[in-house]
Order: sequence, then structure tokens, then C-alpha cells
Amino acid sequence: MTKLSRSPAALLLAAILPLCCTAPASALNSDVGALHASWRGCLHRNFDLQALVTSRTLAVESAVKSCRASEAAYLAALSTSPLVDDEDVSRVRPALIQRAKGWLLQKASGTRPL
Amino acid sequence: MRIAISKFHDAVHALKRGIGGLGLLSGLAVASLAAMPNLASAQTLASLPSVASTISTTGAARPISAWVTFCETYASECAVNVSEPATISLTPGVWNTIVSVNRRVNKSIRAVTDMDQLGMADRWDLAESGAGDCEDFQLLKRKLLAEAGLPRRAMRMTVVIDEKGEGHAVLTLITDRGDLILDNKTNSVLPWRQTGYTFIKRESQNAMAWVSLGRAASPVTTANR
Repeated sequence: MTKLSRSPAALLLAAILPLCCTAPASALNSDVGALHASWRGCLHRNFDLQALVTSRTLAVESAVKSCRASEAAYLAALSTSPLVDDEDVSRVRPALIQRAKGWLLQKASGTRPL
Repeated sequence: MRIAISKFHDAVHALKRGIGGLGLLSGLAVASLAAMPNLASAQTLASLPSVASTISTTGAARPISAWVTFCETYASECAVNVSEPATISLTPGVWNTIVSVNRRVNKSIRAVTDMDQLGMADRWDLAESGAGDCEDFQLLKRKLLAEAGLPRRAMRMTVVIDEKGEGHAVLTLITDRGDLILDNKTNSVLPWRQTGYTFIKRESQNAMAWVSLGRAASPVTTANR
């Protein structure tokens, strides 16, 4: 193969490689589940700490704020999972946050005043 | 537990015979109980909430690519006939048929991910192999219920976020007693509010399309079911 004939192949490869490697991979549900568990763990840890020094409602808000990074990782994976896309995730994010707050408040209900 | 294909087909045919023999639209509830005595015990129609609750739709949603492929292959499964009733009238006979189909399909199909079975992230079919994941269970239930006479238009594939935070497919039955959910995770046919799921989108009742369900979290937090 001459240098001249390799050139178009190299150009083609150069064109294809970025496409293959930057295309969003489809997240498996197991990955999504693990990231969700991680976010939930973060929320619970932060909530438990904050609830020692403040009210439960403030502790919930603080936990949600502190766990933005793991929330973002979970939502990013969710948006590339088979059944859900980025538009769905944007639309439903408030409901997911609300559900997470419900878990935290339920967990501690009856132990401290709101 | 692996179910032999022939065993699965026998089960489905037996189910079809049972359902077909009911004469669903004639409301033969007694026949249903006689044909499937082991299925009628757990849930009763009277156990549903007296106030019907429906999920509100908020606008168009992007279809799932695997659903588009499914609809190319199984066009009749996706077709929407707007002359069909948009709501299922729940008689005791219809209720018994729904409960039994839900339970039998859940029992007959082996749950396996598309990645494990087919090496791909998502593929929708009717679990012809005797195995499938969540949407395959629900598509088969809908096919059997439609064959039993229920209006396909009132049975809509639906995407939710489940207790593990993952996308999950269920079948929504739009009935005169509210929106009911068929799910491969439970044999109970639950009003949508009792599932604990966050509802994302479902098939349209008016076209081959999807509609968003907006901010529709069911209030029950069955987080660890």
C-alpha cells in the first residue's frame, strides 16, 4: 500500500473514530440502579448529619443540595437508559427530588419535630 | 428457573383457551371462576378504591426507539383504533380476566434482561422465547387481553421510574375505576397511586405516539418493594 492510498483510509478512520467514541453509550439499568443507590446513600448520610443540628425539613433541603453531584450522575445515566431520554429526565426531575425528600422525611418521622 | 419453550406455549395456549372461553364481553364471571379456580382468590374488584383516579397527560413525548422497531414488526400491536372505547368497563368478569392474565403471564415468562438474552440494551417483543424483560411481559398481557375482547386503546404501555430508580415498563389499563397498573414485579393489579412509581410517559390513546405524564409521582413510597 502506498502512502497515497493509505491517506484516504486514514482520513476515513479519523472521521469515524470521534463518532464512535463520543456517541453516548446506552446505560444499563444496573448502572442506573447503582448510581441511584449511591445518590440515595449520599442523601441519607447528609440528612442524618444535618438532622443532628437542625430541623428535619432543613436537613432534607441541605442533603439534596449537598448531593447534587451524585444526583447529576444518576440523572445522566438515567437519561441514556433504554426507556428514558433526556427530555423525560428534565421533566420528571422535580418529581424524583420530591420522592427522595419523602424517603428522608419518612425515615425520620416521629423522631424529631419538623 | 428456565421454562421450556413448549411448556410456555402450552401455558399461553391454555391461558388463551381459558380467556377465550369466558366470552368476556358477555360478562361471564362465573365461567371465569370455574375455568381458573386458583386465580380468583386474591384480589377482588371491590378492593379497588371507590374514587377513580387517572393519570393526567401533559403533551407529546419522544417515543422509545425499541418501541418504534417493535411497531414496524408488529404493526397491529401498536395500531390505535379511535373507534374503540377509550375506557374499560370493569365488570367482575373483566376484572377476573385481567387478574388471571396478569398472574399467568408473570408466572409463565422467565425474567431476563435484553442484554443477557440478546446482547442488546433494549428490544421489545412478545416474549416468544419464553423469556423477556418488563416490556415483553406487558406486551404479551395486552395481546392476550385484546384477544379476550378488551379495547387495546384503553391498554397503554407506560414508562415509570421504579423503586430502584431505573426505567421500567408497565401496562396501564384505563378503566372506569381509574388507571390500573399491570406489572411483572407483582401479581397485584394496583391503582396507579399505589405503585410508588414515578410516571414518565405512555402510549397515546389517539395516535401511534407517546404522551408525557408530567410530574406524576404516585404518592405511595414503596421504595423497597
